[in-house]
Amino acid sequence: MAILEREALIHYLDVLGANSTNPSFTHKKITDVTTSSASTWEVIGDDIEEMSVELNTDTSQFKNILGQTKVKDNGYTPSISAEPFYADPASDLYKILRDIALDRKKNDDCRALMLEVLVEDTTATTHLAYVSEVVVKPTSYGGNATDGVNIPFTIMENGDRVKGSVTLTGDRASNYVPTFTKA
Amino acid sequence: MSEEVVYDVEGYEAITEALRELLNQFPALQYDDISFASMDAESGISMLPTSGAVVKSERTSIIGKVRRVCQYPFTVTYRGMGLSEDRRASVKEWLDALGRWLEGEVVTVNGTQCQLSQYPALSGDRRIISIDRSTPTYLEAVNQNQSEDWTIYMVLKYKYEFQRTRINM
Repeated sequence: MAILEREALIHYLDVLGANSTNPSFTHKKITDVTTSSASTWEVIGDDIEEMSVELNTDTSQFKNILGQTKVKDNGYTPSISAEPFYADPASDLYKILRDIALDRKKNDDCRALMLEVLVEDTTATTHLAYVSEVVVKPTSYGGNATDGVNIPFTIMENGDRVKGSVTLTGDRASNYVPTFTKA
Repeated sequence: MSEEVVYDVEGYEAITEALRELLNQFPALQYDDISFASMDAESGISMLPTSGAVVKSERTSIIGKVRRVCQYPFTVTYRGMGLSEDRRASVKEWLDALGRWLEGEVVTVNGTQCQLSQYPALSGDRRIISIDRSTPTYLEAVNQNQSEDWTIYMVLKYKYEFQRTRINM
């Protein structure tokens, strides 16, 4: 049995707009990805040893009048805690996170698009992918003297999510360049 | 059960070269060079790695990037013949000053304050983090010809980052 390596599940944030005078997330709606200019996806996890999508299921059990146990399923409120994220001035994501954190930006300034890719077969030409509307919030900034400035952040789903596929150029999760197509 | 020791073979070569160059930039080094693993029977200063470059910790990121912290322990030995008490004290002081200088402290050489501004760059994705003394200078040996070896033990730590080859996915 072959188990997928962790490297097979890759998360990106669209950092188009990072190099403007006011570094910010440019694409905020899924329609931006599917109809307008190409996205610039930056991979998350360069410094991270463990990261999961927390689905935060919202369910409750109850008994109906027939005495049967039932589940009320209110779905999910997914989020990701990305930690650590060490400040690298060459990173576009760093520029945006820096400005959100230091300028105390909120609401629309924190809205972004996240691309989730699952590479089940490295020889395939396309791979399963989803784009989600999200909110990105740095949770702190600082850190210790040894590791450098750390800006951990949280990604929270905030709106639509569409299924599609990506083609990847490059040979590793660290250097893939994905192109998303809606299903 | 003893832990398996992993060596960074290429790192050993890169560090040795850079460290030899760095040691010979010590401002208090006036007439002699610090040689590598060789000394005259009566006098000299020599640097000697005490083992290979050993991997102390390794972390792999979720996108497959490996970050290692490695250690390169080494000694610097000052050999002298017929050392007077004062000369012994100054040899010890000299080696301790070398240690402090490599650690990044300010040392005074001939009345001038000196401080190492940065560690040398290494080839590839290796970067020196620190050099620290493991011991103060001490008399390690009195040889058959009565020459004395005064030695300081130090450890150089460096980071090494690389992308691990994907075996299967």
